[in-house]
Amino acid sequence: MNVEEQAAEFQKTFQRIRSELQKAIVGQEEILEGVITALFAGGHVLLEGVPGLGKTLLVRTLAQCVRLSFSRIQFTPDLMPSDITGTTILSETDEGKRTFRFQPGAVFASIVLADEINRATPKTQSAMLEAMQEQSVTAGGAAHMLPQPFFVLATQNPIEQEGTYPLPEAQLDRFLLKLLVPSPSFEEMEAILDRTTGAGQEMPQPVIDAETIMGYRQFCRQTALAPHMRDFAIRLALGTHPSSELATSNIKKFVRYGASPRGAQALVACAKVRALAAGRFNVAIDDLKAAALPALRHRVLLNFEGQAEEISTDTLIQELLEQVSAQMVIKVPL
Amino acid sequence: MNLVSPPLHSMLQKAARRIRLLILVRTLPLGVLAAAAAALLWSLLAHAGLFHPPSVFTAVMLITGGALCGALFALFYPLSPLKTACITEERANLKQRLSSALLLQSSAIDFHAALLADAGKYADSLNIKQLFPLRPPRSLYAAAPALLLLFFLYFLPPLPYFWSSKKKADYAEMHRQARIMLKIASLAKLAAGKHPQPGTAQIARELKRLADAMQHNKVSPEQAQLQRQQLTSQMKEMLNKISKQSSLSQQRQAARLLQQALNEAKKHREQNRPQQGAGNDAHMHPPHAAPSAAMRKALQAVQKMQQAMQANNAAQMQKAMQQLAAALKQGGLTQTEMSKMAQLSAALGSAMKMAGMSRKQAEQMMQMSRQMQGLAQPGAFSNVPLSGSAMQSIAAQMQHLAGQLKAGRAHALDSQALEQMLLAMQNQNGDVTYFGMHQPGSGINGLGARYAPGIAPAHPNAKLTYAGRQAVSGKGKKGSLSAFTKYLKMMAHKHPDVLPNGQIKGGKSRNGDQLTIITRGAPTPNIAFSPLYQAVETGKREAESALVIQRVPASLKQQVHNYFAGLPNSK
Repeated sequence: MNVEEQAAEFQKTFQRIRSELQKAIVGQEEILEGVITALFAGGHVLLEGVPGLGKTLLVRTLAQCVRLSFSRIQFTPDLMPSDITGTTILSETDEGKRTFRFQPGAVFASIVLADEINRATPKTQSAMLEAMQEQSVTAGGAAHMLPQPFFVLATQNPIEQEGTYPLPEAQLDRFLLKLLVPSPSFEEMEAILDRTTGAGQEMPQPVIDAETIMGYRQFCRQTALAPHMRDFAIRLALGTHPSSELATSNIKKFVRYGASPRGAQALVACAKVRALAAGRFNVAIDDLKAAALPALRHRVLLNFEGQAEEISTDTLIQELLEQVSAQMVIKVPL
Repeated sequence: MNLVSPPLHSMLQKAARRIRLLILVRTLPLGVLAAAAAALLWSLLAHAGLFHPPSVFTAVMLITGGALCGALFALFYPLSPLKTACITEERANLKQRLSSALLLQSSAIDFHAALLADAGKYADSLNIKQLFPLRPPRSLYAAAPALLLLFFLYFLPPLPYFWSSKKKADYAEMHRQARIMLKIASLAKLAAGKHPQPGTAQIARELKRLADAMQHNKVSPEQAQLQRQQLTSQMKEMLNKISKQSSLSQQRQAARLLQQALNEAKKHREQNRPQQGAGNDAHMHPPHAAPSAAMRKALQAVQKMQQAMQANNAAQMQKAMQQLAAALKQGGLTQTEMSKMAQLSAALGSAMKMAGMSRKQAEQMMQMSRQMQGLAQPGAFSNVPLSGSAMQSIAAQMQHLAGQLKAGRAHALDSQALEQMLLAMQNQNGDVTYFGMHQPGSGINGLGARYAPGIAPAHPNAKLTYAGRQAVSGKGKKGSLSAFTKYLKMMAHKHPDVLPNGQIKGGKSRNGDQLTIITRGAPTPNIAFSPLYQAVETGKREAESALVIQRVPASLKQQVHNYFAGLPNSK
């Protein structure tokens, strides 16, 4: 199969996954697209929204669509790290000998739903760090590889609620995207009610397997990123730093730390997937713009003044986008 | 390995040409607009009198220059293939396909080859003309009215309807001068017939041609003035030549006349000699036996005057006249000599008039002749210097002084001088009668009415007589010279317009409590001409406008306003 055929096939698959997800999820187009993009980009997703918006349903449906092992961890304040990663237990063999055996935790699945991740203590949250970055778990002096693909979808309520622990910066940085789940519109609410309270409900069908996903992950990385598009991405990433000359005045005023190189990687990786999904072989500015908010919003940390002024990181990134876009515009007296 | 897609390459070339054309379409009117605006500004400043107005040629060259600059900008605008690709894909919404393909065309990766093929496919499907349509730019909509305005500025003003009042007045004056010039031209034509001086006819023709052109506005007032000055100088030269010719002939004629008068005088003397010799009645005519020394001097002076007249030498003439006057002052002329001298002087005066010499000198000569004639009469006052013309001269001075007194320009001392003059007249038994329109209360002929001095030498009581309008007896008033003098003194001091020095000219207000001084232009600094409350109001407004410019934060504006509102107001 040549490149064009592969690209066409990928585009078709992407669309099929989306249509399968749409059988269970009403609306939320950007969330669906973001989740699928992260799946092919090889990153994890943090879904943030108030309870009852269908975050868990989305993840469960995705697991059904992609024909992968699925695990759900309900994060609670008393959840221990070993509950997630697994632990070494003493077990008796058939011969009657007692040995230590590693009992894998809930994280040992291809798709892991970390539900309400900010309800667990930071210690427990940190248990996910190695798994998410290294795709392995070290327990009892031995490293245990996680199944591939390994895809974590965490949900969290807005951190202002009581009984929650905000995710540490290192943990946040491990998420490829942070998607804000919006409340449904009137029409979407009508469809949700009709679909969920009616007699019959259409079940999503599996579309893709693990091997194909891994293949597509490699394929997506080949998407062409021209120098000027790379320049755009770099400007965006560096522009989030208050010390950078590319930063806007508001970023300089309200931001403590900007996006790490991981943020730029996330930006480009997502843009590549979106370009291929749109039937293009090259990354466009629109792809980078679409990926900018989900990829950077959780990587920009506000300073005290920013928090006091209730500045949204989305607003800052939007300003930066406008500034960088303006710099990229070719001015010709036409 | 060069993977440049031919369709992409071809499309980029087409697009570059089209973009350059579009730039040209935009910058050309922009250049024209800028140039037209500059020309308009120039004309505006010229209208304000700061510069000379640009000529049509200058304006056309300016606009051509602007258009050329616009065209050159478009032709040499740096337009790289990448820039072309970026502009094209932006217009066609190709999502950076073309620019990415262009930048990655040298790559050997399969994916990039696919990208290049994809870009080529899209490039091939593009319609460049549709993508870059030719539309009239906004600058054209601005340039067209600017050009139209400039056109009107240059080609409408020649129509009299659009002339300024000053220009209309200039042209009316030019027409008036043209009418005068036409008359002069016809006179010059006549003169050309009488004095066949070469070039006179041509000047007449030129004058008529210029006058016609001026009447039909074919020349501007300035040009007309220049040409008229040239023609006037030519005419002056011509007239000088003609007048020199005529004066020479007149002088010769005058000299002949004078020679005849001298010959007559000689002949008369010769005729008298035999009578003196024949008769024994020497005591009867002792003074007339031979010309007196004064007469000889006077005759020499007259001969010198004749020579001066022949030589057209004014200085020599003046000298000779002085010599004659000295001879006459010396006295010693008999009545016969006086009579002859009077005849000679009359001849001299008429000769001088004829010769076109100084009119004043000729008049003096004639006057002298009349005086001598009067003195030559038996019973005349031989030692009285006051003649009729002298009285007339004194009367004229009196009138002048009286007029000055009336206008408040004469000093009181002038009235004393007048008094002395009048006393002198009184001592000489002079009697002057004035017939004027006005009564003494209105001054002596102060408003320019006629007067007629007369003399009655034997009158014992000198009087000034003021007559009424028609000089009807009984309507006027009569008074003595001393009464008249008193009146003049009174006028010198009581005239309402004559004010002490140092008093400020101005006017009193109706209320009488305020002196109004009418001033023009800006008042001098450090002197206040405005009431204090007005100054405070003005200062307040200025301060507020300054604050508006300073962009005072909204929260502070009220505070600032309150501060200024709280300033003490003396209203």
